[in-house]
Amino acid sequence: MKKLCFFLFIIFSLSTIAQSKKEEVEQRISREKMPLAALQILDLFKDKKFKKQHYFFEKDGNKESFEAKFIYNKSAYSVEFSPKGKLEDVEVVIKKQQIAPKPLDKIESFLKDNFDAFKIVKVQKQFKNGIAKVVFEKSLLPTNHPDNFELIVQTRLKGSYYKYEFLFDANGDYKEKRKVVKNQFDYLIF
Amino acid sequence: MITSFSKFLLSVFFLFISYTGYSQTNFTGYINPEISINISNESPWSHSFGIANRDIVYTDYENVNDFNKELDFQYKFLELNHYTSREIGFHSKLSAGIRYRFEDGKNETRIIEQYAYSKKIGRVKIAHRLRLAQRYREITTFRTRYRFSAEFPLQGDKINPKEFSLVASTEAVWEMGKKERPNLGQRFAAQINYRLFENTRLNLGLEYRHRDYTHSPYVEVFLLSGLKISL
Repeated sequence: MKKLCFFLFIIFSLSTIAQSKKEEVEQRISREKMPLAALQILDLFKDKKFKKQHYFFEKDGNKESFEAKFIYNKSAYSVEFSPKGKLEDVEVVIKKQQIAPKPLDKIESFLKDNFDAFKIVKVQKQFKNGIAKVVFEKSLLPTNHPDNFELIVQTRLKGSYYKYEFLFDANGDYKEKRKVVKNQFDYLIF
Repeated sequence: MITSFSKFLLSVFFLFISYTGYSQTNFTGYINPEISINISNESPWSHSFGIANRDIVYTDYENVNDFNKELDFQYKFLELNHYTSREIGFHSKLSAGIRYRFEDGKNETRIIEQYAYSKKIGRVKIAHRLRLAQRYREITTFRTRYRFSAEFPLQGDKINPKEFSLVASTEAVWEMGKKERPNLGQRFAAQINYRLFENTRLNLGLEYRHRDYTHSPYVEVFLLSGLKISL
């Protein structure tokens, strides 16, 4: 019994440690649970053929938001709304090569200067400035002049490995970065 | 979700087919619970500690000395293990490890060298693992094994706490030593993983081992269960 208590204590204390960490958690929800204003914006584009449309509730630290994800023109879209249904941003997954050569050069030389080695894992075009309808409309066009590029990059600096989320503007100038919680693999390896 | 689940059912189905196919000859069933703790921080080094136990719960061999037919149970061993790893690239890890098995009268020390490559492709996590092991017991055996495993989330794109996933894996094992014939074996496993907390996972599954299939084949089925904690 004592052993069991000790064991349970360990387990529960582990979970409290875990709660202080920052990581995005997504939960699939039904369309009805989305904010009304968000659905109104999405319905403006009803005639476009969005495939595999799903809705999510997302928690990132203390920030809560709602997301609609779908496929349009073979690209993966994620549209983020505030809990009140205000459009926060539209993100489209693209390939690294789809960034125009000039900003791409700038981004890569920035990364080269700041890290010993890096690998770009994911690239997204981000649209967020302006009126919701216009922002959304713009994101559906095959432009490579978004408001920002959001990159997930694995880096090595002085022998240590980190994963970051970078924000670069359309010209490839650095805006901000934040650390991303790395995927755990050890439980799969050992 | 539906397709992943049907895939899982299919793999379990195949496991049982193999189970019945061989259950009359040279078949042994084991249970193998384990607890492991993986410790990693922002440095490239990480550590893993584990404890495991293995017991026989079924055998169709006629003359197994210690097997208690009434209880259907025989203690096999208790195992302690430790690995120290270092990241050597964005996806790769080199590890060195030691295992010690307390088995009645014939304890075993095992030294392990390992290379692992793990990656997330879309929503699926994959891991390749190449292991060299030296088993020091009454005889010395050298083992080379390669395992490929993949984890599929069963709810959504990512495995959040309180969600299930399916882990499927297969492993080829080549054993050789001075006093034994080289032999080949293949293992298949399907496990259900439950992410209890952010850093705590429970898993339950079956592993099917087809051993020494080029010479005198025999079959082992393991009921695997585990508690894995990442700190």
